[in-house]
Amino acid sequence: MHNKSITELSAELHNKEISSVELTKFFLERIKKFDGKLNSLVTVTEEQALAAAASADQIIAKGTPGPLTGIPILHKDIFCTEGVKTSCGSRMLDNFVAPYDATVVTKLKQAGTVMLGKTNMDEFAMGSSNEHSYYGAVKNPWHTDHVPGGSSGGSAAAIAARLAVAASGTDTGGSIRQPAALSGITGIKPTYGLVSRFGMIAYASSLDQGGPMAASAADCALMLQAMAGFDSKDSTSSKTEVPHYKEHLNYSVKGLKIGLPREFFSSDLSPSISDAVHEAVRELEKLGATIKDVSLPNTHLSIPAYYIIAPAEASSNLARYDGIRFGYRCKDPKDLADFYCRNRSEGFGAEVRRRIMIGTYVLSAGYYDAFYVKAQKIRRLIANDFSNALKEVDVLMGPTTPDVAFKIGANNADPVSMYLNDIYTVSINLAGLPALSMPCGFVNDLPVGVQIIGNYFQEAKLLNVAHQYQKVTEWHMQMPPAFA
Amino acid sequence: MSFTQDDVKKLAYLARLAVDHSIVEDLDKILHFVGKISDIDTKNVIPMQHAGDNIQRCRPDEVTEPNVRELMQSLVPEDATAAGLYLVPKVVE
Repeated sequence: MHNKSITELSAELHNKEISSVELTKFFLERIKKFDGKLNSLVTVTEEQALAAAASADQIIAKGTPGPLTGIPILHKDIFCTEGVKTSCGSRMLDNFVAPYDATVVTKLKQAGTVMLGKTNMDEFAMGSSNEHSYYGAVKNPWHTDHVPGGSSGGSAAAIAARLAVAASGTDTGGSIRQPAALSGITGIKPTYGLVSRFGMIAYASSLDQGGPMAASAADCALMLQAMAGFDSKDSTSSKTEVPHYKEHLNYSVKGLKIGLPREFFSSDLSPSISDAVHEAVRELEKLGATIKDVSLPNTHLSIPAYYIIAPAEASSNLARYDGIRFGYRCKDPKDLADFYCRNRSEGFGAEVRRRIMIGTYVLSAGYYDAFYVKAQKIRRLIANDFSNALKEVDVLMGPTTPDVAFKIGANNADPVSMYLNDIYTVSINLAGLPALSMPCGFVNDLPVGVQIIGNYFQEAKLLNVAHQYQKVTEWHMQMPPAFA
Repeated sequence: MSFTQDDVKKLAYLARLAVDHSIVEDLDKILHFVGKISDIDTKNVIPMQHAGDNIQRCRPDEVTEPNVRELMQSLVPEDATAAGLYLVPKVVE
């Protein structure tokens, strides 16, 4: 049951071979049985899930279901869910029950999905390992001594262990693609503006973008269909028409021009990852795609630019957490100044405090032009690199991460070494482009991800290429043995 | 350029955070790392503030949301409200 795709489960639900209540109970049982080993969930919403499943069964009985009706999913705990704790992985919001639903949550509810719970994450989405959560580290289902990636590490680990069929994630610098790669699942970060940010707790607003995580590109296509589209409540939401993703999945990739950015295959990349990625590219060549060497010459500047822009936006966004109207309140403050300071210092974890400090610094008088404006200029150079490369080819392909999942604790001593994990993902956020990560092999029994990058609003193309690859390979169907 | 204890104290005040002095070393490392962009020639490059250079969309200046004061006040921890106001430590004795 847990190995089935959304399309297969949907057919069984529509044919009444199984009810949504049965399916929901099945996955709730898996959560009870397995999540103790993974720590992938912050909240399980059993009661609400069973009620939503019963409603889905009524819709199916009436004969009016959609492709996601009755499908059990999880939401990253960054998405506001009305009446359900929304912690963002932080002590600051440990007591916060959202007063409304995020647009993504509303849309997936309207599509008939059943929310089983909320997934663990790096605090305020700041992290690449899911070790920076108030609720503790999430474990990689392939090897529980290793990280699942972050910040959507709870969603990635839960889907890899098939504790739900699909999950939402968010990606500011790689937070959907990197955990998808390290946990052996498929995830897509859409073009900035395709998925509404309303009710998605802000980290770096010019980079944040929500998207789906699931076993396959076909499942991601169905999820993205429900999540995407204009929202008047998000001032940066795009009015671009959303195509029918499923219809694009079966197009042939014959004649597809794939660019391999040479900077993505430098000495920083583990040779075994490079081999696995080249092997994936060869599969697409066999299907008729052609390969071209391209260059993204400013790639090496993307992490420095990102770690100026993202903390700057974060320091501004997180100024709202003062503990007065909601969130963490300290005990026995001396005075108002002490109250603000202790609410924030005790409510935020070390990585969040670090990024607020960096952001405050680069935005402060005397440093604004030298750091913040300079980084925005570098951002333009990086975006120009992509637009030049994408004039020559249809998509770009490369590794998602420089290596497979590292051990829990391995990168904690030095924040910069942790940031370097984002080398192949952050530039895409800076440019605002869409990119997908999917499994393409194993190294030391840990999954490897390959990334496909496209032009603005070309999600249908990325899902199409990934689906064609997944039709002739089986990496996306592999399951961690301990959770099979 | 490196951080001094005084810089950190000033920044922590601006950010309303109390930070451990050990943070100085981390901030120094990060600043040194991101500082490498200063060597790049960006003359005549227009700063990119937003992906796709989105233009901020405006809406008509009309009331669209109902008043949800009670709901919002129900979120405050430890019921720290009174007469529709939020309670904070005394500022004036």
